[in-house]
This record gives sequence, structure tokens and C-alpha cells, in this order.
Amino acid sequence: MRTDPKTAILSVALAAAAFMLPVAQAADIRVLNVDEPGIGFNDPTPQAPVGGNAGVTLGEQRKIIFQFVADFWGKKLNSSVPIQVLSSFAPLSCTATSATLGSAGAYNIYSDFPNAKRTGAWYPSALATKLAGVPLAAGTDPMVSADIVAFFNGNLGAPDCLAGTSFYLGLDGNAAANQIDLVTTVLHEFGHGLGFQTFTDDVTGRFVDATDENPAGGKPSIWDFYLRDPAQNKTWDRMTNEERVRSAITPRNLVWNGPVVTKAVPGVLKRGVPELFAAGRGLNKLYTIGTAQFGPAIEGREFIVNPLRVLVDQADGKGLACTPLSAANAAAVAGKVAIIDRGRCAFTVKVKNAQLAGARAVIIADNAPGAPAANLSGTDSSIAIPAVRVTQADGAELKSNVLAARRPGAYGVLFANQLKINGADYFNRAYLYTPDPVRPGSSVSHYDVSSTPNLLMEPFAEPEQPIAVNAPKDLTLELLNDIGW
Amino acid sequence: MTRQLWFGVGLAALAASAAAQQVVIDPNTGQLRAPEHDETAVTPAPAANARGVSGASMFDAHPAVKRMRATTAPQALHGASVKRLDVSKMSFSVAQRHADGSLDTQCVTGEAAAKAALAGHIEGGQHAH
Repeated sequence: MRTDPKTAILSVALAAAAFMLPVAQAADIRVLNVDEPGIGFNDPTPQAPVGGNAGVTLGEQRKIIFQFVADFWGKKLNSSVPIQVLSSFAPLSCTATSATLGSAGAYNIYSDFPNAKRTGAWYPSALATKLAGVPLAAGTDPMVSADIVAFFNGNLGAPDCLAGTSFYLGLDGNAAANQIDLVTTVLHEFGHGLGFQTFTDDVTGRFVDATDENPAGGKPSIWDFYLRDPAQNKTWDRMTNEERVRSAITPRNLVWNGPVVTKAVPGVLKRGVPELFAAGRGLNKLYTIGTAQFGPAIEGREFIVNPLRVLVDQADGKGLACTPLSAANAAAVAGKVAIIDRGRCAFTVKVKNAQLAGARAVIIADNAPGAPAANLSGTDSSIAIPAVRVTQADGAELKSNVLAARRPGAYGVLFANQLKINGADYFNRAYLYTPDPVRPGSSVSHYDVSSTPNLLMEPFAEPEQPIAVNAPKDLTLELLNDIGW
Repeated sequence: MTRQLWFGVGLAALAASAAAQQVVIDPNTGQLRAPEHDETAVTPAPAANARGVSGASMFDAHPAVKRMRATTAPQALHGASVKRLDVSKMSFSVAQRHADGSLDTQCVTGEAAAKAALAGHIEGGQHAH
């Protein structure tokens, strides 16, 4: 049989391509136990099986959790090169009331390797080797060439280590109130190790390999190419250090500009962002607000439109509403949206007093700087009016304008903005966490806390976080897909 | 476990003098006082026997880290450049119990930020829902 020369050439080319290109396959994530005998993963303390974890010693149960998370991630990712995770459960820092739960991240980072999607950019080791299709480190000693480090605290719950608290070692997410779910905590930290982080400093704005002699030098992280600052109209890789510092403290502005995440956002995050529109006087302005954990939610298509009134019940002009309102003040706020100052008593006390006076809603003006406005904590099932918080600066602006208003005065409109998704901008781009002041290390390398429902890679863990990394419950995998996974 | 807003105040000396008492700095008066419901107390300074919160790195005595730090970055192959990141620069998950018994957990990057979180010296969870 004669073979057509063109077909033969094509066959050879395809065979060569198959040999050279990484084969798509589930990632083999290997948990390497680096603990000494008798501690951490080798702790022989007997344990009863719990929540699907069949281990019978503390060490075994810890190993089972780590391998469970490794396998969970492995099924979501493709790589022809095994991913090595240096893993330990030896003691880490604690006090009686606080504890380091764990520490994780990329161990080595690479740039300018074969098949890199961008040159001049730092990639986490696991992703770099996945893209290259071959190991990038000489030698086989994992203490030198491992991809990820994941160290967790084996002393959690000891008298001097957040006593009374423990890791929940089940695989089913049923942690008790005094337990921290280890699966979701390790899932989160592995996420960082796989690439959910910038290596660029969020406080100084310097690239990871910048030096004191050349602070503006170095290379951006692959992450930085996807960080878009609409206010500055730049991505992080193109900014100066000073511009990055400013970007890191501009709340609800910095977005993830990756196509995979942006496409998935509407299917994961809830539409309808609670906002305050102040109308009248010189205001006519939308305000970012924090919402309350008590009282009715601001959602759906319901609007609350009422005149704004500033409560004054203190000699210094503040309105604290920590005691029942006087008859005159009650008359002033009845049927209105009352603006009340934060301080001295619980949010629930203030709102309840305003409710008893007939107010339709409450705006708490913060008494300390910082942005965006935090939410209002507290529990009181008898509260039936909505309450929100604005920043100290916004509160001052609102109060001065409302106090200066003549009839008909200014109106407050509380509503859920159906044009926006909680945790994303108008273009469905997910917000990164950029509070002011900066939270070193938390800022920029997490999704914003306004994301609803909660996402795995927010900076603060939530109870009942689902064991999920991708849509429709999460957006972690989508972001990793954007950077090359 | 509930997520609490907390009002961090970075006055370690005052916190230390307050011993186990839970206190905040009143933003209006600047004075120490008992925390409001909406505020988280300054966490007392770490006890003398706390595990490695102050002073040296929490990893100095960590057996695996000692072995890791005895090595250098790998030799990169295929023309790549490589950089080793120290464990002290990684992401840390930190938990803190508040005066009302609730727990907060937060993720920070770098050992310095983790130690600040352990000592209650950074502001925390401004969760908006």
C-alpha cells in the first residue's frame, strides 16, 4: 500500500506534536509528609472515625484530609507533571485566644520557561511545570524542588493554643460551632499554592524580585496581568509601585479581568446589590453601604423611599439613639430614614429605638475611618426595619447636606441595584479585596467580601462554606483557568 | 461560628496592661473602655508562654523548615528563571476568638501579618453580608 506523502508528513507531525505537548490528564497532587516521628501527620493518638474520615489515629485522619483535598483539586486540574506538596502538621504560633491554623503557598516560582503564556512573568511552580510539560528543577529532592508548601498547626486546641477549639476532621463539612473545618481551610490554602495569589507586595507595590537598589525593577506575577484598575485604567503589570499601592486601597474598584471568571460570575454570584441613593439638595448620589445581620434584607425589587432625618440626642450634636428617643426626636424620625451615629451601644439597640419611634429605616454613620462600609453585626428578631452603615466620610457628607436642607429636603432610597452582582462590577468582573487601610497579605490576593454567596477564596472563612471550587458554587477554579490551568 | 465585625486597635502596651480584661479605644474620647456589642476587644497581649508569637520566626524551631532552609533554590532547567519563596512569605490562615466567644478566621500573607492578626493588631472582617 502506498502512503500519500502529505498524509505521511501530517502523521509524523501529529506524532511529534503528541510527544512534545503536555498530555491533558488529571493532576497527580502528592502530599509529602515531612513530619518527624510521633508528631503531626505521625501522631499516634487514637481517634474515632468521623464524618467519612476512616482514620483511627490523629495523624492518619490528618493525612486522609490532606489527600482528600489533593485528590479533589487533582480531579479539577490537568497536568502531566506530578505536583509535590511539602506537608506538615507540626506546631505553629498560638496564644490562648488566637492561633495560626495553617500556612501555605508556592514554594518555588518560575519565569520564562517553555510554553509560558507570558514571558517576563512569575508563575507558581505547579502551574509553570504544568505548562512546560516537564519538571523545571534539576534534581529530585523535594526539599529543593517541591511546588507547594502546606503547614498546619498540630497544637490547635491545646491550653495555650486557642483552647476549646479544634479542627473538624470529617470530610462532610459538619463542623461544630467550636470547630474549624479542616477540609475547606486546606482547600483554600492549596488554592493559594496553586496560583491564587500575587507575589507582588500589596503594601509597597514592589514586584517580588525588586531590590532596594532597584525598587521599581523585577517582574510581575502572572496574577498581575489580570488585575484591572478601572479608576486608573491600567493593569497591575503596567503600574508603578505607587500606583499599585493606591490600587490596593481603593475599595470595590480592582477587578479580575479574566474571561473565564467573568463568564461564570452571573451563574455564581447573586444579582441585586444593596445601595443607598440620596436624592435632593446637592446629593443625588449613590452610596456604598454595609448591610445588617438583623432586620429585613434589602433585596428584590422593593424600594424604601423616605425623607432623610439626622437624629441629634447628644450635646455635641451626635445622635446615638442608645436610649428611647425623646418625644421631639421621635416625631422628627417617624416615617423617615433616620441617620444615627455609631458608638456607645449595640447597633441593635440603636435600630430598635429608632423603630419604636416610627422610623422606616436607619443609616448608621461610622465613627472611625475606613472603607468600604462594614456590615452591622448583632441579633434581634424583633427588629423589623432595615438598617445599613455608611463610612464616616459618607456619613458626614450626608448629615451636613440633610441638616442644611429645607423642605422638601433630601430623600433616602434604599434598594437592591439589579444592574449589579454582589462581588462584581457592572461588567460582571469579580472584585478583589482592596479595603482601606490595606490588610497586608489579605488585600488583592482574595475575592472581595461583598461576594454573595460566599466564595472559598475570600479572606475570611465562613461556616458552612461548601466543599466546592468551581461554578455554580465557587469561582476559584475559573480564576486558575484564566491564569493558565 | 459567626463572622464578627471587629474594630482593631493597635495599642499593644495598653492591651498588655489590661491583662485579661477586654477593652477598646473609644474613637471619640481616645480612652480605654469595655467593648460595645459592635466592637471586638483588643486581644490581650500574648501570654509569656504563647507559642512563638513574639520575637523569632514561628518556623525557626520547625523541623521541616530547618531542613528546607538548609537548601537553596533549585537549578532551573530549560532556560527558565527560578526564585525560592520562604515559608514566612506564604499565606497564613489565622483564627481568633472574640470577647463574645465567636471565632473569626482570616487569611493573610506573610508571617508578620499573621503575628499581627494573632495579637489582634489588625482590623478584620468587614464582611458586607
